[in-house]
Amino acid sequence: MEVSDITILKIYSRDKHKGLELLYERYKKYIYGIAANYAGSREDALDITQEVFISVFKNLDRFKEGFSLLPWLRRITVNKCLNHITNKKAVNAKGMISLNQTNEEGDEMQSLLRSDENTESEVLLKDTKKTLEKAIRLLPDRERMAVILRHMKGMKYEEIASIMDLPIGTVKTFLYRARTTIREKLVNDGVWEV
Amino acid sequence: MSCRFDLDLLQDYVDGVTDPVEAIFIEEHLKACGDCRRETSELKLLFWDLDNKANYESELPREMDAIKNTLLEIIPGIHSTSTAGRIIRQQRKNLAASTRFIGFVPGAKQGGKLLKEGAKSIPSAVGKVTAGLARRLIAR
Repeated sequence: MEVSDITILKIYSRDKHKGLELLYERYKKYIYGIAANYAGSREDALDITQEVFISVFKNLDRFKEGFSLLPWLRRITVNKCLNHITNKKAVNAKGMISLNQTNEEGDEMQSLLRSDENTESEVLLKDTKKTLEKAIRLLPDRERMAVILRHMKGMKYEEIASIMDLPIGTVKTFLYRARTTIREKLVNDGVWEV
Repeated sequence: MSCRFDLDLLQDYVDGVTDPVEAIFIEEHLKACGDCRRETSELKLLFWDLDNKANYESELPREMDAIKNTLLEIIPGIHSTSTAGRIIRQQRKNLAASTRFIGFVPGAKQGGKLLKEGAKSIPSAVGKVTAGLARRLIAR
């Protein structure tokens, strides 16, 4: 059974354990959904989801009643996603080359590697969902997050700018670039007959 | 594409974020420019795919429940701190768990109901006899 934010906060004030359990049940799908589309791997998505809930559980006492939980949870999720990959990059930088790393010309390492995506079977498959997932996964971190918030979550540009702490113009630029990249990928992989 | 029209503006148009005057300006241009009409069609296709929520669906992993339980255990301050409280909560859980199997016994629910109805229909004399027997047994 799903309960409202107000009810969750009321229950939390009487019984913290129960309140947190209800909060987890209400928002687990939302948070995991963003994390999974952002991280691209199940393990990373689970890590991020766990980090988000640890932060939420620890700080719910400071949350003011009467406000909606969603914007707060969304902000935490976005920050955890962006930081998660940053941390991962920092680990990789110690001795390994990250596939997200860029060279002097600004190309990501992963886009320079020979890929087997153009094998005949893949081209024939033309699976839009898979190709779109791949295209989104290859985007730079912040472009990827902007696309997820705009197109998956249907957020306004102003909301995205606020949640990502960016000027609205930058958000627009990220989205223009990301869409162009995604479109090229969809055309190249034969998803569209254009 | 030979037309040098602002492609970002076309994206805004398809995304529905242009103001009405800009939209009129774009629509007038589209009437005259085949390149931009083609570009707009492709963008509409792209937005249709991007806005399709089914493309983002991901199955919730089974580990989600384990994560919840672990977090609820490790986050301090969410359980009552008294030892007595913890023991009572544990006992309550044990009790609930110890009778859980009854729900799975075939006919268990009907059995209880029938027993109650049967007890009601026993003649009062039988009840008295039983009570008398019980008293005698105790006296011995």
